[in-house]
Amino acid sequence: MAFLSLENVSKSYSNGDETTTVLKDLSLTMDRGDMVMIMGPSGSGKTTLINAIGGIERPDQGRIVLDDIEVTSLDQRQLNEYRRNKVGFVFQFYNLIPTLTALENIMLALEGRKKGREEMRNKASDQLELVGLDGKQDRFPQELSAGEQQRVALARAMVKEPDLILADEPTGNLDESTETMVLRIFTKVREELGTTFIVVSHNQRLRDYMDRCYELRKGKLVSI
Amino acid sequence: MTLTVRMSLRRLRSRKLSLVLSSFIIAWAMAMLVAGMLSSQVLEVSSTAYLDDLGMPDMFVSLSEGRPIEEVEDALSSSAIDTYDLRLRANGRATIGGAEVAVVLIGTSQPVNGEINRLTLLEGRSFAAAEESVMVAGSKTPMGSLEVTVNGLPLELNIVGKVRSAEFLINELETGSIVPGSGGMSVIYLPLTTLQTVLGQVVNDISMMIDDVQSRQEVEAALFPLPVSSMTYREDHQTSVIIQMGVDKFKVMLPTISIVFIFIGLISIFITMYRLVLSDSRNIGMLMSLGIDRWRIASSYLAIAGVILVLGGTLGVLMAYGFTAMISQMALDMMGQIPFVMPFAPLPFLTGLLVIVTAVITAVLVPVALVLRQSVNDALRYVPRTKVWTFGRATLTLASSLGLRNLFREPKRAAVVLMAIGLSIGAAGSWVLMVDSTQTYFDEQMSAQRWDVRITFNAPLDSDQAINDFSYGPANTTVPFVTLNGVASSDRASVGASVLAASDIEEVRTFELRRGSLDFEGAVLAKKIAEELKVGPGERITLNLGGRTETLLVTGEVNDLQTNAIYTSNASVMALLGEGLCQGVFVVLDDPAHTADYVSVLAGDPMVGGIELKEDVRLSLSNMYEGAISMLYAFFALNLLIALAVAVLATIISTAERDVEFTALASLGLPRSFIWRSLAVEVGTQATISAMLSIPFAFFLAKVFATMMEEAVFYIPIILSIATTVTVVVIGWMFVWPSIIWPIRWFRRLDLVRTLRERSSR
Ligand SMILES: Nc1ncnc2c1ncn2[C@@H]1O[C@H](COP(=O)(O)OP(=O)(O)OP(=O)(O)O)[C@@H](O)[C@H]1O
Ligand SMILES: [Mg+2]
Repeated sequence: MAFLSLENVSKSYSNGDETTTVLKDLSLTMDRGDMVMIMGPSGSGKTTLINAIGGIERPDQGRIVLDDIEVTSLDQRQLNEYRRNKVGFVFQFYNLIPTLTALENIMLALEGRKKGREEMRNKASDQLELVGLDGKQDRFPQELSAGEQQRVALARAMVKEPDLILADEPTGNLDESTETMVLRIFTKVREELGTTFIVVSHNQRLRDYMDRCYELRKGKLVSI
Repeated sequence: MTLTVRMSLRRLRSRKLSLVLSSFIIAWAMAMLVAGMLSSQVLEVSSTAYLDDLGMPDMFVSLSEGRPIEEVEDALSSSAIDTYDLRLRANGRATIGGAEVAVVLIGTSQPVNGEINRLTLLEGRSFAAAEESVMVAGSKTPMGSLEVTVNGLPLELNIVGKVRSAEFLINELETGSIVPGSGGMSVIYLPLTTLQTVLGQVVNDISMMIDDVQSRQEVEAALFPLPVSSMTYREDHQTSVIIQMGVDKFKVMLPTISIVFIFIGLISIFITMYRLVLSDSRNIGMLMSLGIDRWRIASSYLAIAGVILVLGGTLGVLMAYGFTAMISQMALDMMGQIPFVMPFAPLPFLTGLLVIVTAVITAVLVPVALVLRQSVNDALRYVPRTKVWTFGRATLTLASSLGLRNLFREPKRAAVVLMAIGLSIGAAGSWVLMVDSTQTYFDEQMSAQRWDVRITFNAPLDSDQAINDFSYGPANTTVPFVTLNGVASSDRASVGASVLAASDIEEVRTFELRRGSLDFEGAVLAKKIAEELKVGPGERITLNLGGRTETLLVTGEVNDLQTNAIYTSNASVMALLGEGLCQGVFVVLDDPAHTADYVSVLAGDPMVGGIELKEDVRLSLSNMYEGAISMLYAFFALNLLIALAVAVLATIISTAERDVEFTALASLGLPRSFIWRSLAVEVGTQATISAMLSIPFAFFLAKVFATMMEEAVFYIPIILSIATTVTVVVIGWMFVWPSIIWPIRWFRRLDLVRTLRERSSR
């Protein structure tokens, strides 16, 4: 049984009379520890796909199963729990909480797990070290550079050791060297924890780090 | 509609609730202002109409003893007198349900349809036969037969109706007094001839309608041959005074409190607009870069002011009517079910509208101007900044520090919001403070009274004999007194006065001296009458009672509930009443517990007209004034709604700008309880701080009210008791809490996908 499987997933938006079909009978299977890249022109549905897998958006049809959990049949509360325990999101625009420090932003991801404060703090601190930000733990997001903010966001996604990390253009705003650093972290995490990655990007340079690469075309994934 | 106007109006769509709340606060402020001005007019118009309708006399005169009708009619032949009603008034006592009750009997020959002192029938019918009578509503006597003892003689009566009369609109009060006697007085009107069978063919009470104010002196002079003991003009009559006090109270309190609300409305709109314009900064920069001139841009935001004003103004007019009707109805009911008359009065509405138009336009334009002042470049590059206050990092949980930091993320705004909420709670709290202080003050005033029993005689009695007769048993001190209601004049003014003259006043009560000394050889004046006469210690005043006058030297000024009181010694008023005579005695007992013993002996004494017990007086005093002041209690408590509205508005503004953060929290799959805890810390802290802040505001506002009321009524020292403080803080705190509902609901409905997309498109 595959770790992640999407079976005939379809999603369309209706805007008044117009209906845009974004995903059409899309299928995908991935094994644990796979690192996959999804490309595609703007508006092709990459974000929609990622959101569907991450339990943020519901597809109209089809099944999404992750680690034997049927995501498509979870209710709101279960979806929330699913996001909390199974997946980590990395957004293009980091979405850090401006009133929490770097360390606290990371600790946030551990809320709701039955863990002591000290343990949470240590874990978050380790994670911050992993992304090369030790020493900046008490900075607030607006006191960090874009690349540093993205690394905090990465650390926040990874600290709970999710099975799956969904990254939507994680390097879109970063310079080349920071980008490389981010990808090295991805690779390292995958090696250590066997985390599965789905990375959305336009960036050809990322391909070297990936197992496979797909393009989203007319609502379907085409291997390239 | 120009494009710029359309642009700013479209921005309102997502801010409907803020808009409605701002309009609501402004409407409330306007309604308060208008209701204050209008309800005082309603009270004045309604009560005047009612008193005219009842044939309220222009002048009330009492004689110290009865005189034959012909003799009185002779004296009243003056052409300045329109009509008069000659009556016989006596104090009697009846036993009702085993208890002895004081009864005022008034014999009259023109009960229901005369031109003067008309009685309005509420129940039953008017009297026709000799033994029939009617009583004033509120009397303790039951309908049906009643045996009354007058001058020691029995009088069989049959009460066939219940009436209302102008002179006993509030039947706790005796003529000329605004400090109530014991309980509600039982007043019975009966045929003059019936009462004369007991008291002889005399009259002792004259009510008159007088041509005009100019002829007053002529009338006073005409009364000279008569033994006048009390002479009260319509405006000094307790009915008029109490109504005036009510009117003044509304005139002063409501507009004052409305200023507070206009201020709060101003702040709320300012904060909302500032937020809106700031987040529009880039659009504004874009418009400026297109070369659209600043005034055009600014004026497009006036469209928002327009929307708030139309909403707020309409709601304000409706609420003003509602408040006015509510307040006036309650006040009129309390003053004896006076029918409600709504005068045509556009002025208060115009004033109210003018005030809110100015306030709203200012609140809208100032933030716009602040943003427009920037250079095009700065405006285009605007990014919302968040200041973060860090505290308690080590000890607080994540949820708590998130809540706290969110509350203070814009410290200036947070301060303003907390002040605004605190002020609204304070405005409501000031009322609690007023009521509490009033009660304490009345208690103190009553404890200034040292007497235990006050006895009034049916006719003047020699002072020495009175001391002799009433110093029995538990009586410790017996002090004869004279009360006179007349006119006091100085060189500058002349007003109705209530004189209490006693040989040794300080034996029966203590005084709170403001100026001068407590020298009762001269006259010690209550503060308000001293002010009205424009006199101080060392100056002279003249008392006039039915053409007889006495000049007194003012020696002191005191605080007093009876605002037109003059205190002096027996000797000073001898010329007015007769040498050595008194109308009653104050009795100080060796122990107040012996009151019942002492009083029981008095039953059946033909000399005794009225017996008042201090304890009864205390009760009816606090009932009456507490009732009057508590009347608006519920109404003022409604002001807490404004506190809630401000809190909701602030919460909306600060959570709406955090949509992305909420989304981030949701995408992390954080448990709901985390969000709730952090919101609870935020709202709870807001509630706690603003509730605490409300106390100084409440105290300050209550002080302001008290100072303003001093002009109209009397000065009440404001005291901040622990119980009041706790009440205000706790109630205020509870009222801020519901503002948490909004962000919780909002979080539940939050569209994750949409916010994430909106963010990416920025
Ligand atoms: N709420 C919506 N209503 C209507 N159409 C929508 C909605 N959300 C997305 N779409 C449409 O769905 C399509 C796919 O959007 P999506 O964001 O998934 O594209 P994308 O591949 O992530 O593009 P980009 O590379 O620009 O981020 C787009 O054409 C978009 O216009
Ligand atoms: Mg996208």
